[in-house]
Amino acid sequence: MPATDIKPTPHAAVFQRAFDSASSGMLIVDDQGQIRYANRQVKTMFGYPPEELVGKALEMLMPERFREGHVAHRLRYWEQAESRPMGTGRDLFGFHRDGREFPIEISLDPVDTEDGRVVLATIVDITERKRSDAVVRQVVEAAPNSMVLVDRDGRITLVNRQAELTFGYSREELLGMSVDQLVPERFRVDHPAKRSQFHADPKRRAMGAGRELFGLRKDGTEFPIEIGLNPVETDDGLCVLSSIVDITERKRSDALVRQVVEAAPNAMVVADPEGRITLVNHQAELTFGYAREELLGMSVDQLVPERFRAGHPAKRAQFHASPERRAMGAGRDLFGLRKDGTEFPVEIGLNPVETDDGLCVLSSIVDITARQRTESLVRQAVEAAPNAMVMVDPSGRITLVNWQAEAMFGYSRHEMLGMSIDRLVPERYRRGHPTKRAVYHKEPSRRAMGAGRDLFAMRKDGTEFPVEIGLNPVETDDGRFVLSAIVDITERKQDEQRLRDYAEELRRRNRELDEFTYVASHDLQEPLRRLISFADLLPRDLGRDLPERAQTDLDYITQAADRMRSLVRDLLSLAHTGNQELKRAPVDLARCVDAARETLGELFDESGTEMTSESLPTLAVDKRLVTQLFQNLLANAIKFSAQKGKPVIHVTAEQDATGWIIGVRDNGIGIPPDGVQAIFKPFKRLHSRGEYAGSGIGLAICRKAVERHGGEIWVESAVNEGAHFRFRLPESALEANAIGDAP
Amino acid sequence: MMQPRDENRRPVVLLVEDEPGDQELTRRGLEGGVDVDLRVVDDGGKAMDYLMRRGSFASSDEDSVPMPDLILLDWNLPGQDGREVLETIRRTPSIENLVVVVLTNSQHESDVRHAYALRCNSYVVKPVDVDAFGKLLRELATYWFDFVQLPPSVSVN
Repeated sequence: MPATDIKPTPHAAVFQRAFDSASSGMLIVDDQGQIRYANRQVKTMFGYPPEELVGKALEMLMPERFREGHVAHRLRYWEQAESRPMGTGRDLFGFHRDGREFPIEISLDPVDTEDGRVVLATIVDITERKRSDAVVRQVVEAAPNSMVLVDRDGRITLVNRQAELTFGYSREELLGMSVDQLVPERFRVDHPAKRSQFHADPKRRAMGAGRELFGLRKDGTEFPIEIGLNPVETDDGLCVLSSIVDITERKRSDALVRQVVEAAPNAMVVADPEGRITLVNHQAELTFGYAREELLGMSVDQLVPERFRAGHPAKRAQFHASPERRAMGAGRDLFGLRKDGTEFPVEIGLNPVETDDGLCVLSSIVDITARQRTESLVRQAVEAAPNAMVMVDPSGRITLVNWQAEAMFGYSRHEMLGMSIDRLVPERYRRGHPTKRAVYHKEPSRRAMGAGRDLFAMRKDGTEFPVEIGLNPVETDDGRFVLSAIVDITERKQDEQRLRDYAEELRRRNRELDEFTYVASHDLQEPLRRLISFADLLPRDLGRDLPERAQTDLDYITQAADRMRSLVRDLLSLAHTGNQELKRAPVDLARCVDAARETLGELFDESGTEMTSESLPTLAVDKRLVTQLFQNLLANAIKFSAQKGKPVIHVTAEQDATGWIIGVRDNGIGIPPDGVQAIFKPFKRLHSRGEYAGSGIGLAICRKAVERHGGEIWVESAVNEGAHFRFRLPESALEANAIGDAP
Repeated sequence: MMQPRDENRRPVVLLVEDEPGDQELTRRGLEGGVDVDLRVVDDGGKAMDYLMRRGSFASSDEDSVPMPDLILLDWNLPGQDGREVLETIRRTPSIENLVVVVLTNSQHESDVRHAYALRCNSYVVKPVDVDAFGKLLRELATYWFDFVQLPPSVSVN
């Protein structure tokens, strides 16, 4: 039908204008495929005046290769005409009058008129759009992240190579697939609702703020992801471009960092460039009294006491200007502020940390309250110590002294601090001192200095004095210090010397006394012997002429002389025990007992004494002295038992930690309590000579014999209970000489 | 010059003893035994003078100052004591072989050792009992003069 057949309605001019002002090309085509109308846009798009197109076959506007096929399409459409885009999924092209092709999009609308059905085709030149689509595609493809474009229904319409790799699907598999398939099943049900939410308020944002997101691979494995969502307006409506990052690695290293930070013994706080806290550990919670949730996002300035707070941002800015790992506030005392408003002294190490959010600062914070308290305590304790105390740093410089040290060395505290410790050592030892210090430094232990050597220190005025020094290693953050406790032992040395002199004097006097006793008793013996001799000769010389009273007088003289002789003999024996050389050799004590018993044979036989003995040890003793000892004890035992009946004697022996305790126990008359000490004194007798004979020297000799072996003797007894004389021979006496042996 | 003891001559005993009582006891103790010519000096110096025939014994002849066949030497003497006398005798070639019996009260071990180290011929402790002392002296005389072969007598010229 020719275009002129169309009868313009009164509104035709209006339609004409409307068509011409449309942005798309518009054609009206009849059932024969002839163009009945074309607007101005069509002319511009295809290069024809509208008049030229009217009445022409529609196929002239498409490339030749499609023309034949198009007739069939057209006829089919006519049978089932409806409003729809043309050629879904296929690329359509227009054919310009000058012979070039260009991409178009066409939508078809059937219109029934009085002259029958026509079709309105709306045509858009999509050359530009195609071009920008290609750019987008390339950009998406080149992106380092997985990119997935999803349409309103959740279908995937675009993916890049990275998305294939990340999810393990091929591009063909992904396209057209529901994006919900990439969500783990446990989250899948909720996903469409979330997608709808995004569509309700579409804006560029991160998905699932604060929640942990996971992707699902084709093989069923999950992985943590971060997703950025971008609304994209397309011809198909609002689509969503998701940028997906597999954060498995980052998660792993983040977790590691978190664990390291968490495990740190110090409080750790990370703050972003604005001073907001982004990471803390448990120790930080404890130190500042805030919960982690409170700290995160808070300004670090809040942790600074108010009086310093105003200056803090400037200080932070300084750090950002030259970020380097360093201690905060060098030389200044720093304080932290707890949630409860209390302050505490701190030490802070600062570390710049580059993050995605820019340069952050990792602060390591140590509460040094305890350390300061300890330091103060140490200072006070050192000051209060009775000894001079000097602390030395690893290089040997004095870092701490107390007033006793000042007094001892004659330096003021001011002079000593920073001085080398070597200056307190006399010059003749000074050269070797650094080496000795180095040796100690390598293997420090709490010990006395210079074991076995005599140590001397030097005062400021150059005088020396003997010292004793205790060394204590002190581990500090600045290395290993040594705290020395120094005692001036001048007086002690003098006392020791006095004691040694005194002991020597005592030994000498004892020796002199023994010698005197020996010589005296020896010299006494000679006139005594003559006295006795001539007392014997007198009656012989006078014969029967001696008057009776003279004979009685002579008897008294003889008796006194005999008594004197026995005393002198015992005294001599005692002196002999004291001054004779002690000859130690291993001796079976049983042999000494046997020898004593043999000497006392007659006494044993007459009294009918029964003797038993415990097993006796072999000890390094003077055999003669110990035999004498047993002899005296056995004789004593028999003497003081015999009147009560048959003496029963038991020789005892026991060993303790210090040596052997040997004893002689009898069943005699015993000793009253006030006698147990006295009986060991020379010439001490508890009984009259009429009752028991003896000079009273026997036990004194016993004591001397035991003491010369470094032992002691005592008696355990009660009246009528018998007596148990016991003596200790110390084990030490086996090697060491007793005092009595010293030359 | 040494000569054998003259069997016809009474044996000569030189007692070196400072104590008159002991001199008397010795004298009486020897009674009833071998008939000896007892000469007595009361200190060590005189003993050496006697043996060397000097001092108060100077220019005396063999008859008035006969060389002793036995010397009874007390150990503790005033002045030159017994050990010095013994030591001098043993160091003096002309008299070094004289028989010297130490007669003393000292039982001290070191004295005994010392005396034998100086080659005393015997070390005898004086018994306390007067009879025992006499018996000892007589037996000493019998032993040295009747049984023991003595070195030839010494003459000092």
